[in-house]
Amino acid sequence: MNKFEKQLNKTVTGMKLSVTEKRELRARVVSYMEYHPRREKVAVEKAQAYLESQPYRILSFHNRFLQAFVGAAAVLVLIVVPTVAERSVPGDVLYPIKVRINEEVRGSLTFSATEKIEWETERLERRISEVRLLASEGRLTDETETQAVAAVKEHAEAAQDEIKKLKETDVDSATLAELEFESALEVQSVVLDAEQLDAATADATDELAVVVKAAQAATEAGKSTTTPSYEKITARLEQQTTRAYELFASLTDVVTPEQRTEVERRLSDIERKINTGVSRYEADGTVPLALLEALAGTQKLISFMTDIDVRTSVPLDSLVPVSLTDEEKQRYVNEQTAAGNALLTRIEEVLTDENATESLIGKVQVAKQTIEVLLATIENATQESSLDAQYIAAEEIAILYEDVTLLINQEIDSDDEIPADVEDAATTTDAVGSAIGTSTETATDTATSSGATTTVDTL
Amino acid sequence: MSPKRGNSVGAAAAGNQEERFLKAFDDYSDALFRHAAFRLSDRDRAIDVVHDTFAKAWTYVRDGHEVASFKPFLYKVLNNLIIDEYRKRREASLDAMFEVEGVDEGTFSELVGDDVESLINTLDGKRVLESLDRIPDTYREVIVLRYVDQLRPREIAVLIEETENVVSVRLHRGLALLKSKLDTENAT
Repeated sequence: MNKFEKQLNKTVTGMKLSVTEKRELRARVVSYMEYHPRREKVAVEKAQAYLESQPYRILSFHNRFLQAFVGAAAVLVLIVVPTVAERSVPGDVLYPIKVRINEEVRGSLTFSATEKIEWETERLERRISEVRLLASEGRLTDETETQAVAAVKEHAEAAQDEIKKLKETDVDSATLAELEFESALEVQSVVLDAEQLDAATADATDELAVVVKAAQAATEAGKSTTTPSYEKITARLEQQTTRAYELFASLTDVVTPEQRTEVERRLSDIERKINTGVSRYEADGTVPLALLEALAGTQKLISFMTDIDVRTSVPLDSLVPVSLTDEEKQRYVNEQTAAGNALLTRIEEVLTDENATESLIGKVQVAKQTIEVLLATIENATQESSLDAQYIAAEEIAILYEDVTLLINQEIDSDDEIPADVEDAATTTDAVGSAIGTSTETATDTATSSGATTTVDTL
Repeated sequence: MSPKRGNSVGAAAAGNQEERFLKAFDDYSDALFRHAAFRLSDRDRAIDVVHDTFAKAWTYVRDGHEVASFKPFLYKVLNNLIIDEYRKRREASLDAMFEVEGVDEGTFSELVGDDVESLINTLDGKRVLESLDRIPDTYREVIVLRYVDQLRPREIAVLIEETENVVSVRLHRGLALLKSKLDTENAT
């Protein structure tokens, strides 16, 4: 190496980046690289992000026939099968889908405890109506019946559990749910009882009736004694009556005109009960039981309207008896007062009848006293303008009237001879009969035999 | 091999492209800086140009091009950038332009290595480097590549896309020019 190169080298090696400069330069280059990543890398990262954002893309079907097939299969599995399964009954191929998939999915979509209880109740009703359907077609096997009984038990217990849970957080809602569940069970129980009379289905539904009764008893036992708050009841009533009216509107073409009138009557009864309840609450601040009755009634009415089995197998009256308006009650009281008076006249006749046996006379004398007391009660209640007290007394008179009339008739009917003064007696009792306006038949019967002379001590 | 296929081969080595590039930085950044510093006679500017060199090189790599050997590639990029820098500066004097002109195949003496050697022996290495900015870049380029970067004339020829002859002639003329400049300086 010559002198030139030595000198050169010295200068050249002296010329270099300081450590700091090099570090800074490296950082600049690295950051440039980071801001300008390689295209392929970008492409790969983009592709990954795309795939991750659209997971379904991973399952891509390129073949057109395959696409059509997959589409058809999806429609079949997601729409057709569940829809068809919904109509299946135990023993059908699709029945497990109905119970284990359709119903479970629907159940998983219920969020509030009240909704859950409603859904369990509906499942219970479904199981019962399936059994009833199979029984009526003669297709019910012991196995399906056992399964249905187990399912009913299970749903009833689930509903009761939910109620119990709800009680811990919201006693009022729990009480209302309990009331509704009870009403639903009652409806089922009544229907099953009605079927017991039918020989074809009696055996089949025997066990179910037992299970439903047990569930009823269990609910009754765990029933809370508190009365829910006024707000809760009215809110629930509002909800359920709206549902009932909607159902009624949609049913007009399906039900018979008689059923229509009956339901209409019950709806107006409920409406009246609510109004009375509301005005009582406004007057003295206590929550009247009439409101709870209205809610139970609405619930049963809804069951009656929604369940065709219920509608066909039991009369509405056995589920929700007609509740009378004040005018109707007044008229009834008037009728019964007249009947009571007529009965008194009749008893006087018996007392003066020389053919009357001593035992009959003794009995009618007791009846006479009772009727006089009841009439006096009505009299007093009228002065106090307590319609309910009058009504209760009137009801007793009605029962008494029937019994005593029957008693007198039996005493005299057993006689072979037809009495001579039949005509006279008939006219008088006829008058009484028409005055009462009810049980004309019985009245006439009584009149026919009123003049009987022979006494047979059968009672 | 189609460009596409070339790219996919590049992609196969994708993982270490970044690593390779950074290793090239660690290996050559000092040399490149030195080269730039002598060519431009401006330390800060030299750093910037080296940065730009790596940025440009990276852009080339990220477009999917394969770089077999980074050293000549980086020198090439740096050289082009320095030339651009001169074009921007436009500070070359009329004299310098005339001096550059007419670089021909060169005379025999210019092409003989010994002649260059004898010329070098008359020069002070330190002063040569200090006076580099006083000769046109065409000469400075080859002188720096030859004596600072220690490249052989053949390598320089490839890099600046000239024949080896041209490189030798430029070296000779550059050094002669420097000598005359230094001699005038000494005289005054």
